[in-house]
Amino acid sequence: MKKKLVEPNIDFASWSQYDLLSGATPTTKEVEGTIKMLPEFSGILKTLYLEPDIREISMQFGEISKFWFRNLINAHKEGKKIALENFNFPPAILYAMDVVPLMPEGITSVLSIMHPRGVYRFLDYCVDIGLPETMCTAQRGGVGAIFSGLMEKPDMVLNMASGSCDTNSKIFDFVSEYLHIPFCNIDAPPYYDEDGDMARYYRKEYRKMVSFLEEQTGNKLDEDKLRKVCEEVKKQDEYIAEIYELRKAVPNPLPAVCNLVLFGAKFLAVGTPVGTKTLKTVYEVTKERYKKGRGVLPEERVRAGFVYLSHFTRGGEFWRWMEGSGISLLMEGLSLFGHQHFRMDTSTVDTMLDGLADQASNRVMTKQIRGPYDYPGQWLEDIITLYKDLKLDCVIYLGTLGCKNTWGCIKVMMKAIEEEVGIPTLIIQSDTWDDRVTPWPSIRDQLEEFVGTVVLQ
Amino acid sequence: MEAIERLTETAKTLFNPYIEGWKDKGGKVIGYTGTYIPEEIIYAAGILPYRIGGREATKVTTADIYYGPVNCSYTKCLLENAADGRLDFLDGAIIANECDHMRRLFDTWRRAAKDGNAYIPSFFEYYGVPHSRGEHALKILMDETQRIIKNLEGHFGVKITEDGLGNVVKVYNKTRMLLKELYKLRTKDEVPITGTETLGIVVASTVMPKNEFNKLLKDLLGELGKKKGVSGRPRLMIVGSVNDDVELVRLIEDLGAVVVADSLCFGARCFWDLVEEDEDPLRAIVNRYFGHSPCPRMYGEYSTRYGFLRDIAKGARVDGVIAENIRFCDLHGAENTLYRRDLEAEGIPILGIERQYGPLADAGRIRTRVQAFLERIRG
Repeated sequence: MKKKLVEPNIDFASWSQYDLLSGATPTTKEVEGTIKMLPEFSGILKTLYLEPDIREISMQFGEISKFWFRNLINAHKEGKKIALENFNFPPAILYAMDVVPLMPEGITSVLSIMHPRGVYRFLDYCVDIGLPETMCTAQRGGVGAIFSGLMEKPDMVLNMASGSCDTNSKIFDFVSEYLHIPFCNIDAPPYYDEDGDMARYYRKEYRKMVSFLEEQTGNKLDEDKLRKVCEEVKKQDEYIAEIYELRKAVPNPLPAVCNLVLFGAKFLAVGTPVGTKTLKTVYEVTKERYKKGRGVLPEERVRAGFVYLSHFTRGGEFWRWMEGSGISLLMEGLSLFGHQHFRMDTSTVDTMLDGLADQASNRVMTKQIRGPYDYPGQWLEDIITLYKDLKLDCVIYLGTLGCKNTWGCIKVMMKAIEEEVGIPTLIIQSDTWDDRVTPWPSIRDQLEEFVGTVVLQ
Repeated sequence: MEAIERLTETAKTLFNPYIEGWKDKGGKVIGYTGTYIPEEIIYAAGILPYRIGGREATKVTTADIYYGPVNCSYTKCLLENAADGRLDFLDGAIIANECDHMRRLFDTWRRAAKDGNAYIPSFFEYYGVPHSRGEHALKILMDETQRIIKNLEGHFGVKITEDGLGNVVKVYNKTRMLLKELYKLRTKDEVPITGTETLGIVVASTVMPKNEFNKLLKDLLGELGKKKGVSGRPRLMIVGSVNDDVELVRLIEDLGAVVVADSLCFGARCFWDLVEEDEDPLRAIVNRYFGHSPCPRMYGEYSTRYGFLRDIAKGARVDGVIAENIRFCDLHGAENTLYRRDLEAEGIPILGIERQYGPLADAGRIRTRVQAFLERIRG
């Protein structure tokens, strides 16, 4: 077996970092001073803390991160089980059952965006133990950190990428076998419907997972705890819907980096008060800006949408550059789909589980890429809806190496978008978390050229 | 021509003499992509099921227009064959979500045809297979199968009956049992048939009428029973990604080994399990295809797959295992890493090879690595 890496634990170090950052919101002067003192963190500090509105939102993002890492490092001490779960898994049910979520994609992203050393050593660790280098970096970073002994080890694996992503599912399957821990597969059926056979299939899969969790923890699902969590879920969905409405404005009032905060709330803190508070903050700040007519850009050169992933390296330079170049970023795969609204009926355990299952079934990736791209409710339909709602001038695909499923139909889908709505499209080979595939400056140049020579012509 | 020659010749080209004969009589042919599509329902409609392969494609230029750079070369070769007119004889095609690359063939093929870059048959269906087991999964797969049956009946003006399905099941089970007999012969000390020939025979079983195949294979088994086989060569097993290219096996055997076993979907995994004959035939067929020796697309079932592989490896007394995966095939790539851990722990040497699919693609590199592996085995 490959040797473990020797350095401070990633989960503990991350928790300490967010703990230090929490508390009173710093002034601009304080942020500027910190940037000078910590040049290796200057990128992320500029992205998250320099602009006062963003700073207010980012402070909440810090709270989510602190909460999430705190849970992780204390889980075993507190007698709780840790479940490895995918980014498309809304962890509300885990909070209701006192199970601690460990999302490898979150670890990969935190390291890749915020840590000066990035995530490369963990991506490579997985390859060293034999996983193909073509497997998705989203999981390889976090899983590499676990395998290398620098993270709390999960006690079980919950795979919710089944049906929508082979590479994601297979790495979860692999973790279960490699670490000899139990595995539960939650499969998205091959087609999408809102309340038909497919939705019913998924609700059964979801209940199968609940039984699995009961078995693993030895605890029965507690109705009151579940209701408390579902009430938060309901509030959060209302905020997400409101934020989506505000995004339709021209100029768009929501800064691009807030997508990162939305990821945090949606992926790490669904069903928790800290998640709700964060979304409330995003909503209130955005609403205030909207009321005052304050767009992110006084004049939007271009309203752009990314149909799937964007770029998560170098202190979030992607978001700063987009806006610095006059490009308003309206849609970003992981945070989009705010146009979907969920039912959450908290009257019985059954209605709540159905609500949570439906929410999971509608999660990004689970919903859009499970079936043929142009079937009802699939990727093309959602992108066209978003194009109309958000008044997009172009759509862009930053194709991550590991994403065989989207790469398998993106060229076909982009042609369909051009034909159906007549906007220009761009496909770039890159990797969201690994700049060694295509360095950020090269991506930036391609984006710049596309906007300048195609979109604005 | 001897049975072995007729069978292996059949596997060489996509359009083979049996298809020609079938079409000459006005017969219809439906292509399918993998081991999760129940061929029996097609055959019961009086239509010839035909497993689409990648052989004969020597480039992927059209496929590259529609697929991304990180998609599997085997799947691209399937599309390329449609683009180059080598599948023009198909009257229908059914694509399943066997893996992410293959599921997208349904999207890329339609678009290539719309652009005038590929032939597409008028009957073109997607067959969605769940990744979890259980009654609810079986139910949606039954519904999906019934949908395909209805569409087949409507499109081709045929009727698929319970009796028809029952009869077809018997024919197909016969094929499976004969192939198992063939695989049993390979476990002997003196191996009467090479791995190269065996792959040709398995491929033939997927591209010609089963009753004719059964007759030829039965004749062949009679001949092989009397034949003196090869001995003294390292006995190898091949596992991993899909392969219908006999040249890959020939390359390995030309280095002095003999391939005596496999766990491949053009191999043991496509015929090992039978359909229950005393149940409702449709349910039994769906059960068999869904529950057959699983592909790595079924998550959480590694131990079943490993058990299957290990039993075959031990039964055939293999000296080593070659675990190959086509580049970008993460399902097999990841699984091969686990096979390496577990087989080596049981004292069975294993060689992992990542490769591109295609006629002798990566041949030099593979040859060198297999040579080194054989040296390790020979000590």
